[in-house]
Amino acid sequence: MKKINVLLAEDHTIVREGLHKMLELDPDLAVIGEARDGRQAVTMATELRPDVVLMDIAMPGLNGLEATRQLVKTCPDIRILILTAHNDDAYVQKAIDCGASGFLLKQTSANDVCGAIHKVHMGEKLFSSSIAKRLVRNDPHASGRPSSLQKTKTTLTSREMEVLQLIAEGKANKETAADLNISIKTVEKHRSSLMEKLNIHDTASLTRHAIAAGIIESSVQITIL
Amino acid sequence: MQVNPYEMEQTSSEPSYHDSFTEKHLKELEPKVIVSSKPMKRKVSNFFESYQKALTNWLHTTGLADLEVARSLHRPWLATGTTLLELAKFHEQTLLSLDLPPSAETDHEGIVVKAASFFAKVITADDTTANDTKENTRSKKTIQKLSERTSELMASNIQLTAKLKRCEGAEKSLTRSGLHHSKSLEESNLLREQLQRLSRRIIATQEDQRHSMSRQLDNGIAQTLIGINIRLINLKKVVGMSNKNLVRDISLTQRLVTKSTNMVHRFALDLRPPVLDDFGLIPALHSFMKNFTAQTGVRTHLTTIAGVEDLAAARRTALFRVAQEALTNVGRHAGATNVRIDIRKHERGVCVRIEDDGKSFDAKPFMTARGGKCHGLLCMRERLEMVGGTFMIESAPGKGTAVIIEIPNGPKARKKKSSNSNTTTPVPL
Repeated sequence: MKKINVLLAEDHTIVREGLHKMLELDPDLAVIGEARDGRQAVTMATELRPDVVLMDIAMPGLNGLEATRQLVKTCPDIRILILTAHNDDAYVQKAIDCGASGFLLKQTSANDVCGAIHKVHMGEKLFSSSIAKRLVRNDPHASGRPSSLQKTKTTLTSREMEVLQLIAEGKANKETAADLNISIKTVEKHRSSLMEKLNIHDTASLTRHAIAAGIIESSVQITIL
Repeated sequence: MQVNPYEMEQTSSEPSYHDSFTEKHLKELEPKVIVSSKPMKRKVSNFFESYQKALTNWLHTTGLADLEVARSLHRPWLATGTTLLELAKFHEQTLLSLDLPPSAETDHEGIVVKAASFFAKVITADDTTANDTKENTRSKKTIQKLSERTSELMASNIQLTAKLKRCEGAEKSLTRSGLHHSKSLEESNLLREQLQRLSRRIIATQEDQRHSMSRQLDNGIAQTLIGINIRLINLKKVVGMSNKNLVRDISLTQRLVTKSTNMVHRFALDLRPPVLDDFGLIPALHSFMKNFTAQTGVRTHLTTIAGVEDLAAARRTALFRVAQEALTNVGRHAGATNVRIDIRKHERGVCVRIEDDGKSFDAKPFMTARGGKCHGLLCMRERLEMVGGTFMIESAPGKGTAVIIEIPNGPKARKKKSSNSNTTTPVPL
């Protein structure tokens, strides 16, 4: 089987060397070049025609996103996998807009790099549904832990779980009642019961708990006029 | 301690003054005094001189003995041919020339009355020498009344003069204190301007440093940690399944490295989000609000015009920082469930409203006080003023709190004063 030719575009030497070694450990992958900035990545990729470019975003001269946009235009066959430390959804969106095939976070997905290269080469798109979710879980300031979902599930009845989610989504008691087809009084009963069980006594803390436990995702209602 | 001004008179420490005075007033009197010859003139002059001396001396003595002198002046007065009015005028001027200090006002009246009795003695014929006719008695009474009236007039005249002097003094001290006030106002204005310049420079420098620190953390430390993690992954792969204990140890180390990476990244993000520079204000606000909701549970809503991205970089930074501060305050103090950021077009730029449904608070003391807890609010205002914007807080019980910001979009910041123009330091981005 023909090896997958990979071009590394990464300005940090320690990361680049580490990645090189990692890819070499995979018998199906071959590193055919190393670029230290976006411009060099475009030149080398155009010349070497790799199957996949592993691309960092923050690079001097030309950043990885712009390099991706240029490469996709000139060499549409090359798959580009973004590997970055920028963990904001704005970067994911921009990567999709520029025509990248996947987006990986250096902090959390370094283990999966080889697998991801294989997938992208096969034509799969790899975009994490929410990087922010992972960020929250790794956030030392957040009071909740991933395990708190399990704890919440065992503490609350399934009806209470439903009510908790709707409250956390910002629904009023009336709307919750309509959604679940129960009376407002019943909603209030569930609400006070689950608050008692979780020892949480205000809506904001309840929302925070629901986000931390992964019941809902943190979101902003955004309207651009 | 009261200084008796008449003691000085007695020793005639200022003779020239009185001499000139006498001459001057004699001159004034001249046209009215009907004198035809030089000897007559000298007679009048001599009389007035001796009148003045006698009066001054008498005012300094306590007894009545010297009234004899006054009595003895009656005839010389008649001989001069001057009128009663002229003598009264001279008498008053003599008294005024004694230059009574304003503080001795109460004593003045006593002195004036004493002087009046001297005057009366001069103008009335001596009891023992005058003819005791009815005519004389009547004229004596008239003269008595006249002299009383004259002394009253003189007393009020002296009081008025004293008052006038006091007023002049007060006016002078008012002018002095007015000058002093305007000087200290000027100084405090200067100090205020210097302080403002300083605080703006601090804010600008701080933003600059946050920017570079954030970059260094993200590019330097975080990338090195990521590199270490990749090496550990490789190490684990090389060791393979042959040494389970070593693999477990490496995994534990990896976890520590990942934790550190996230902390560094979080710290860099707090210092200055790269999204703000890479994609603009809306994605940066969106990102911040999302994390804010995850941390506080306060639901966030953002409504904005796309045109807010057209603001100059320094203004977008100011807006972002103020929104950040306002949201942080909501998370800390408001006990709110929802917070809304509403960015709309405004006649000169954009208007931003950050509104929560939590507790209200009185912002006034925070906006005027110095240092301490209110630093955040003052800093918000300062940041906006730096870019020509305004900042205000609306808070009412049951209605939560709203922070209202206006930022102009003109090429230059709206200047408060022309003198402030060079204090507007742009925030580096």
